[in-house]
Amino acid sequence: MRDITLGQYYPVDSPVHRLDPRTKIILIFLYIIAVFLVPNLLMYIPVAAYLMLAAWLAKLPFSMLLRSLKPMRILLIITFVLNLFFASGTQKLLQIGGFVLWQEGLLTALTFSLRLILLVTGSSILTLTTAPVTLTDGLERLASPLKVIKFPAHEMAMMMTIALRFIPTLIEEADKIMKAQTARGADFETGNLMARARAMIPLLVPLFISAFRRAGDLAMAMEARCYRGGEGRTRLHKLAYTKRDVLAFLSILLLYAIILLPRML
Amino acid sequence: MNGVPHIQVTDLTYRYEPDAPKALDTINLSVPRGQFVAILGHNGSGKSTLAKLLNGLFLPTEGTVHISGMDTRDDDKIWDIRRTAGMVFQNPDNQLVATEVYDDVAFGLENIGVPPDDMPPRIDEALALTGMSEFKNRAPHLLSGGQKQRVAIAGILAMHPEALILDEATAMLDPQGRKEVLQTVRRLNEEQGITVVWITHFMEEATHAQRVLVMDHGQIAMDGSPREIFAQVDRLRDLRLDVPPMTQLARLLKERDIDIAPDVLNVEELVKEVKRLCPLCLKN
Amino acid sequence: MPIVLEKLSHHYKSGPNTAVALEDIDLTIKDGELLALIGHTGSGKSTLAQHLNGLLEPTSGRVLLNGEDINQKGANRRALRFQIGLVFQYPEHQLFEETVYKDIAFGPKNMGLSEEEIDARVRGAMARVGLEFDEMKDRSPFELSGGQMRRVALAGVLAMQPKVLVLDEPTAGLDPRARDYLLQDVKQLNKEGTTVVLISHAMDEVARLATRVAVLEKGKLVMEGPTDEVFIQQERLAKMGLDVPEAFKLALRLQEEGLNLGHHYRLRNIADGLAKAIKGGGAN
Repeated sequence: MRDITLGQYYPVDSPVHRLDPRTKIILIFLYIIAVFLVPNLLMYIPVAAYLMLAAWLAKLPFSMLLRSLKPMRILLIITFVLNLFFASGTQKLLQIGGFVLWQEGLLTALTFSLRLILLVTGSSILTLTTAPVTLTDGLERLASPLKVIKFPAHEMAMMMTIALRFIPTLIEEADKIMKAQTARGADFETGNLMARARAMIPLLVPLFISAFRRAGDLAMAMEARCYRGGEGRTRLHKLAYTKRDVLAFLSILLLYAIILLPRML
Repeated sequence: MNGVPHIQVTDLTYRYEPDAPKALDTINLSVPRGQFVAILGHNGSGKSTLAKLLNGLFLPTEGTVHISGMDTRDDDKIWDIRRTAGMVFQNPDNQLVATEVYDDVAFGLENIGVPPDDMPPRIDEALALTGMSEFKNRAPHLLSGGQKQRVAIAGILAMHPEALILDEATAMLDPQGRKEVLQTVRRLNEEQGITVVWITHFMEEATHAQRVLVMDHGQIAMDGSPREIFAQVDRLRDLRLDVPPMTQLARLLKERDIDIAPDVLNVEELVKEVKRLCPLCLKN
Repeated sequence: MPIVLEKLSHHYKSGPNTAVALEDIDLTIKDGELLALIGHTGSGKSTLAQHLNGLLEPTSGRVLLNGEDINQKGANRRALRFQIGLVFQYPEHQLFEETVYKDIAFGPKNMGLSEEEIDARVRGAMARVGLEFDEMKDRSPFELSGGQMRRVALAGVLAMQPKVLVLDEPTAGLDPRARDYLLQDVKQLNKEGTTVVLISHAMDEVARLATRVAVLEKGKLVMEGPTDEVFIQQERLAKMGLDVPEAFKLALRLQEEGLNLGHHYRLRNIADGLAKAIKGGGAN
């Protein structure tokens, strides 16, 4: 575990990387909605093209995008196959033994699979081009109007930053504890599910206790550095919209226009 | 500066719970501006408790604590007190909140509402003073213990404190880290005039202070210069503390009827004493 | 049961590169000895320790216990861990059970011993580390003081009655008195036949306990020999960022000045030699 970014952030310099995180967050929401608004199979092409354009602008290697689909591959296959053979329809295309391949089935399978692919790759572009802390910042700023209804935007952002900061530390500690218990003959590997769950106790209990202690220490240290919540706090990193962000917003509007064109005609 | 002592503790008593025994018992202490005072004591003597009362993390059960004339019980002044008297804790990890050194040093500045444009020069200066400038974009978990503590110190320095309270800040470090931190703090004391309260159980560290306090069972048992304190080997043993090895050696020599000064603190001083007692012993 | 490290190397992946933790280590740990392993942080001491009980596997080379390769196919590494006890730094961080008794019993339980045997082991281990059985057995480990928790953790390993005990910075964070007690216990254990490998930064500790010292630098074994012979090479050690006990420093300083106290480097021995020299007025 070598860096904070959990292996997701791809640190290059690109126009997409430089976008304000708020822009990217909003864009992702709009993009997701767009994917569901696509009226027919053909209209997935502009969406896919938009995605490819974004990836290219972000200087992301194609292999990286494919890799983001890896965890989903089983789900993808199941989605495709299930919809292919088990959706009922009217136009028979093929029959293999007892299995019927309907035209509707093929279309549905393609639609759902495409959607999944576009959604997952689109989200990865967000996480690949935005450092977690920057993302947290963006979320906090976007959520701050919600302070009027007492939504603790600042506190949540603070929690997320601290969590990110401590993940590598906690992983190191978990490793140490595991080694120490193994040195006393603990066995984390053999046995059925129940046995292995029980074997986790000597790992989880110390880890939890240590996490609570850290939290207490950290709270004191933060207070000693005059932390008293979000009131009156200034921020080192300023977020500001630029021309690039305006262009990005315009681009998604353009995408919407293209997709919704057939509906309007 | 003026006549007001920097840190003034008057008749301070502290209990963790209303019925608990006294963790601190009627402490009176006055620390003048710019002094480097070391506080020694066995685990449980109350030294860490005292540290937390100095910057208002704990409030007195009885008595008062004043920093630069401000009372720690004063709600309006507490944040000023914490800015003025910064505190470094024992666990290097559990003080750093940000994912990058630079951002962590900025944390205190953000809390006290410093305008964003004023922050970079203050952060850069603090990092330079602690020798951590080249690490400014590093993630905290990639730093050594000594480096983490120096970042913690930088985080406080950026707030322009007048005093530094270090609560066993070297207890979890290796010798290299301890040296780094002690050197940094000594420099800050000597060059910037920052008052230092250094709490430790490492005797050798206390030899660098101007004044040493020894705590026992919630009270101040000894108060004097390092020499005055370390010469009292038996008393320190009773208080469950050690003395520096050379002071121990002086004691052993005394037991062997050698009239050596009891307050020898290090190797050079012992060699000097040998020269004095037996010039012909050292033929070179 | 000697342990032999034969051309032991350990490499691991660090990002795109391969990092060398240990390189070509040839070391024998003799039966019943108290060997100290010293080296700068990052020199590979902890990595080496973890090879001794099979927690880590060598990239190349072998670890032989009584002539048998502990990492060969079919080897029972779990059984090995009951013979070579490893106590990590800050071992109190691994306590997890509801009572002291249960936590100390964890090791023996994993060994598959009978209830009576486990009970005997727990009692024995607690007595070893100075924990009163009836008073402490039902207490929660988490309500104990730091020093007590450490003793519980140590007892947990001792209850397995290992033939070899590997201790990684056993006195880290302890105050002088607690440190003393622990070192006394270790010395006693060694006297009674347990082989001890001590990893420590505290050179005074090493000088007090170890008969032999091995020095690691950047993953390589650079020095090895009787304690006195290693510490004499002060300059070489200093270049590696390692200190020597004050007593050694003094002896070397006095030697520079023409006073040779012989090959004793413990405080008492120096005191004796020095007292004699001074009383003799330098007539040698």
